[in-house]
Amino acid sequence: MALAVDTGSGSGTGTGGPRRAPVKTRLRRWTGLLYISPWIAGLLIFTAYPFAYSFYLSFTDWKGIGAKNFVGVDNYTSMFTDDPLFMKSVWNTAYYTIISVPGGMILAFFLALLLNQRVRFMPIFRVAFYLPSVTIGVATAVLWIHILGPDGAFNDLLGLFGIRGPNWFASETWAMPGLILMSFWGIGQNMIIYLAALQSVPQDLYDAAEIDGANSVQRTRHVTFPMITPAIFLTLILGIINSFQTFTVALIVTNGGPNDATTFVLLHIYNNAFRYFQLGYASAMAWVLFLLMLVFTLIQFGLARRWVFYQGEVTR
Amino acid sequence: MALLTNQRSRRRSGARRRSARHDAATAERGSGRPRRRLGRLVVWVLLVGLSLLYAYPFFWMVMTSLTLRENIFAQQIVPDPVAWVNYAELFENSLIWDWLLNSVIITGTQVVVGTFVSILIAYGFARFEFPGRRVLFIVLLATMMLPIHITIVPLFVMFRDWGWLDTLLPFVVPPFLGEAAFSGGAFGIFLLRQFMMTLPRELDEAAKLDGAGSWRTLWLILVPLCKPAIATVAVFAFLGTWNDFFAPFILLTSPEKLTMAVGMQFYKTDEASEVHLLMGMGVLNILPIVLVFFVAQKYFVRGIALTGLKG
Repeated sequence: MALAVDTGSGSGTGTGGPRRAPVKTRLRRWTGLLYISPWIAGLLIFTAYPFAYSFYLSFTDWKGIGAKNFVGVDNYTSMFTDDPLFMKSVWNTAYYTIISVPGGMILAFFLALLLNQRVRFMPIFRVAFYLPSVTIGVATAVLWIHILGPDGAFNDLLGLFGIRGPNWFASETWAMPGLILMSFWGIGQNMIIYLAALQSVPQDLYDAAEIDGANSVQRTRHVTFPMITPAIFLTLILGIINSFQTFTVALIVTNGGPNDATTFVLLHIYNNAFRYFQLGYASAMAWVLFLLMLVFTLIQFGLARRWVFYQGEVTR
Repeated sequence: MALLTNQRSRRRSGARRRSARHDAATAERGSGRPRRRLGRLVVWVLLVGLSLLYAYPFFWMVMTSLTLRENIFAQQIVPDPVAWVNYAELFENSLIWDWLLNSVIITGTQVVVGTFVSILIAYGFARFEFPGRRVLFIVLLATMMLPIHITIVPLFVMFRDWGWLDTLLPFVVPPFLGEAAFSGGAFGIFLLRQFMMTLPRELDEAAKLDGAGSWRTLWLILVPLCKPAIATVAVFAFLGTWNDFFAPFILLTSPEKLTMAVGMQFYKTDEASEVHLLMGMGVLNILPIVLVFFVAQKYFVRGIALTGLKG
């Protein structure tokens, strides 16, 4: 189902002439504002004000108490010059994103293809793949500490193939791959998106391709793939945004260690803000992270024109 | 296939047509080509194997939570005896009751009040003309993309100045303003507004002719028709709040003020001999989600399929 984002049109109240709005229409104006007034208040207090204040703080050296000294762009320059851990956290986040996002998408697509075959007990399989993604949180993070423990279930599984698994989260080399493995467990939502997309490809297209003599690989390549590019695009955008904001698993599972191998940007921001009370500096880093997300999203939208195929209608 | 929506049931009939066509095709060619049967077998084996892999962590969690302390290193796959006593031990800790209560208060407020207020706001955007509506709606969309990490530092300072730190107020007040301050209330408003836009205006006009004001029109005409969308919004509010960690972790500090998700950490020790209690806590954290999931499965699936929003 396509949600057309339509911000204005189709809203005439059906009353009122072109020149002078009757009393009733003027009244309806205020009614509308009345209905959305809680949201406007919430927006100002809990979103707009903190948003602006954060921008202001990012140019100060505020420690949470005492004077807020204006320091210009010092915070923005020092994260690149005086704080090697910031650069490392950017690298860690990039490393995680580059593997976990495309990897998770491929795996989710593969599972969706499997589920799209007409198989028996399909709802049960779907739940098995989907349920982990809705439970993702502290509890599952703690669970995975044990699944990927030195004597955990995953290493037992590797043992069946004669592989000696590492002590994942105690190893500087393996901690990040461990977190990436965990992320592959939570791909159910992407899978559901792909499955919905696969099921909405019109059968006529396959029939036409078959008549033209296309085999199943060609049909997948030239019919299925173009038709579901909007779903792929959506999961890519959301995947990158979520991945940039990885926090809970990094805090719970490894707390950034060992030797900062899993310090993500958001964890570094958290530590600066709420452990060292460098609120000004933390705000500056939050803004850099936000701008990075924004730039990546805009680049994606720019590139999308080249490969995302919309079927003549307004989708999403 | 109980979790399919109307729109999907159309697809289902499509699939049936497809399969009839396919059966006819295979009958022509001689039924059950060995390659196709082999393909089916491979699909089956893959599905069974992978779904077991995906389900195993849950299985291990439940089994460990039911293992006696002295049997933890005994490598039992299914615990013998089944130690329900572990859960009794967990509930002896009065803190767990506090955390449960806090989680229920926060989640309940978000689900009930947050959804209620979202309906009002969505109605305002869907059915009324007022100056600045276009711009405000774009702002609403923009806030959906605004990450919490930008606002958390000022919010922390603001709540500190108001004396709201270490209380439930930062979690139970914003829902009254249609804000899920920490899990994106804008999404619910957006989804409901989109749904209302699909309902014909003639309904409202008819109600107006019958003398109903805007309030009665909303509750008697629109809300009954919006039930599926409202359920989706409520389910997502539940999920986003119950499992939320970032904000409660930062804003709550006293042990008795925490939520289930944050309290879980208290059981995260390095001592392997306590793992049964830790996993018990995990089960208590996840169980409500699993229950809601099975009751409201179709709303989960629809919400995801509609927007792909992460819960």
